[in-house]
Amino acid sequence: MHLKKWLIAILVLSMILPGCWDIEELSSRSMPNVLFLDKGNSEKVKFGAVFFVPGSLLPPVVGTTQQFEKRNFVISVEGKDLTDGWNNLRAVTTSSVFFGQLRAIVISDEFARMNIDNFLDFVGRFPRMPLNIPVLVTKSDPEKLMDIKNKLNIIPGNYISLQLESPYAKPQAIPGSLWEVFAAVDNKTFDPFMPLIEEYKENYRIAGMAVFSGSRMVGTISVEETETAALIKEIPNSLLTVKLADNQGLASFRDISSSTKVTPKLDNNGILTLRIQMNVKGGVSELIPRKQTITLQDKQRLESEAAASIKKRIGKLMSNLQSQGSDPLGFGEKFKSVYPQVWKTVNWHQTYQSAKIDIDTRFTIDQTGMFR
Amino acid sequence: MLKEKTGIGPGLLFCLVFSSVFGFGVMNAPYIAAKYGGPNGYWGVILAFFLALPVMLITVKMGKKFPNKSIIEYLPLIFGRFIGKTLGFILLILVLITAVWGTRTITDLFSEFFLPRTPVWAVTLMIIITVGFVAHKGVEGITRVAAFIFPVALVFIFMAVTMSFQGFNIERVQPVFLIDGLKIPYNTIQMFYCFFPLATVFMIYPYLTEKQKGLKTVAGAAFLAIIPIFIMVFSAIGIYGDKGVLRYGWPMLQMTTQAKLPYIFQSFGLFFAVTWYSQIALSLAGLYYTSAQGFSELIGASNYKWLLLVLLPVSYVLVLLVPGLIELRNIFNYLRIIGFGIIFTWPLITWLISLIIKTGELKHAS
Repeated sequence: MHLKKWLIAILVLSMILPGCWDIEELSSRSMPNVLFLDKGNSEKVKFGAVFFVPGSLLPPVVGTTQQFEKRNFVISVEGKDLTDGWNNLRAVTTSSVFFGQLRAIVISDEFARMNIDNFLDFVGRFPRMPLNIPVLVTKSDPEKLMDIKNKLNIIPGNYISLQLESPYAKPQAIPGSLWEVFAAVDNKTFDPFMPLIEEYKENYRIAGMAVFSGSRMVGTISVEETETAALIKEIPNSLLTVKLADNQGLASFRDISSSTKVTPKLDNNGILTLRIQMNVKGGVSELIPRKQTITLQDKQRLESEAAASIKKRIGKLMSNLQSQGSDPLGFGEKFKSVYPQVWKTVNWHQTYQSAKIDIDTRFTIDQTGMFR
Repeated sequence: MLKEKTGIGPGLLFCLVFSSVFGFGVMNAPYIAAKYGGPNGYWGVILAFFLALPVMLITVKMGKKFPNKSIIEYLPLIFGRFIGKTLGFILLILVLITAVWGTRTITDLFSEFFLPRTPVWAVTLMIIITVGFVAHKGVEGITRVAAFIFPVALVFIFMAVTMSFQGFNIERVQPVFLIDGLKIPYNTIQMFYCFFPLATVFMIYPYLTEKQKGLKTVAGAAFLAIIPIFIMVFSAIGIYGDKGVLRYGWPMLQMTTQAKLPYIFQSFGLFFAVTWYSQIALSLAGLYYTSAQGFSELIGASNYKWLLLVLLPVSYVLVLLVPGLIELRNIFNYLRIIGFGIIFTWPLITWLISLIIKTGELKHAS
């Protein structure tokens, strides 16, 4: 009898207590697909979001053309700070703004060059903010960029997210989720990095990588440099074209994968040397001029030239990153794990910028495709 | 003397100790480990287990010395009536505060993540009623619920452990064997909080039917519970870095929500939260039961159930007295140290004094 009373009490209370206050119909909830931030004109911050047209996410009826001219629309506001911007955004939407379905965050180059600490603090405090979404930087106006109707008519957040999740896009757009940006800023053992996005013939494309020093963007690296960075980070599936010596043509490789060992070494004078040893593997995708058969001698020559080319690229990349004072590749993490006590006493960015780089690369051709 | 004629086997005790240690320990473990231990703070979890071993051993030894008595009953026999009862009272206050703290912790987590607009009093009421219901069923009821949930919980816990490694970076947990001053011992003391639910064992040990298996059961369950906590602390530091973990209010939940499992679960966090809730609810039920049973023995009341009906409303008020999360975290800082002082040292002192004065059940048997 007692048990029945307890159970009835719990059931009744569970129906009338938690939940009632939090019921929210889907129709009364605005779910931004992309959040974008820029420097404002009249106020400090421009705060905007991409919304999908209600009902437009349904697939088209078979045999008909796409029913919706455009599936997304953009709303932007300005504010004194991000919370003010968010508040102003709420004022122009008919329902509550829910960030749980965000697929990407885009910030302008100008905004990223300011301190992004406030931005990180704001987005991180939303309990339902998905932390595994990409954060991207654009050199153009993010509002215009997000307002384009891409050729597939996929709403921008889904388009960008699908594009970046493709394993073949990762060498050009090294994945850098929101939580990784937090980790970089908090640990100070590496610097944040974000893919650069731009419009290309009414579509989006990756245009390199924005690099940071601490919580401030300091510059960009090109697509080719990003691919080299991807090799250091052991991200597979990149392509490589090597100009052969003595103007003997070009050799291209596909399905490249790498294995990298970074060894930091401090000498007695406190000078740091970062030794990068990299073994790269890939298949031949194109030879100009074409060769009927790749002999063992050809293989050795191609491998040696590819290794030299990668070494040169790494050298160029490192020189660029060091000059910008940015360590997106996480050399600081290696250094801290090897010299934990020294780490506490040094300014990593200064040490990194003056570090010597010692590169050793090897390349192995493991496939020749359908041909010999 | 125990009023209830009931008994629990080693299997039931095993499930309860597992649920209690895991449920109470897991959610705050990465934060505490990273804060006090740095990059290799995960050692604190394992070392805290070794620190808890003497407590478990003494509980078993005292259980043999006083086979039908709980700690509240044998403390006056060792220290004398006044000191013994005072020590018992302080222990029970600690247990009650721990239970209140745990209740408010899950209330705040639910409020923040799942029920942001529901008032705290409503969430707390629901939790208190659920936990109170289980506690009201007594030692047998609590342990049977623990045993019922155990297989499902174990599967989800280890699934969460496996999936929590997305984004792991080995350099963030290195160097593995770094001795940095007193960081490791201090971290070990801080991590001892995971074993506060052993206070429940102090009270329910007399009910164990096969006392020769006592140590194996309690230590085995505590070790099994500490394995997933250790792995999750290890992966949390490896993912966010020791400084990065400190950013999050609930790093453990954050870690499980970021795990992406396309086509299976988009977000694993909810499953983990439900599993964890069942475990901490059991842990809290054990602590509330311990308080009620202990106070009933202390004042000589005939039934713990009436005491529970008094303690639950008191606890409800105490839970609501905490203004917010910042105060709750501040209380936790003191609770960890005071709790270590009581739960680690008192059994040891009690055992030593009982050895010196050669007291025990046989001497006091009439």
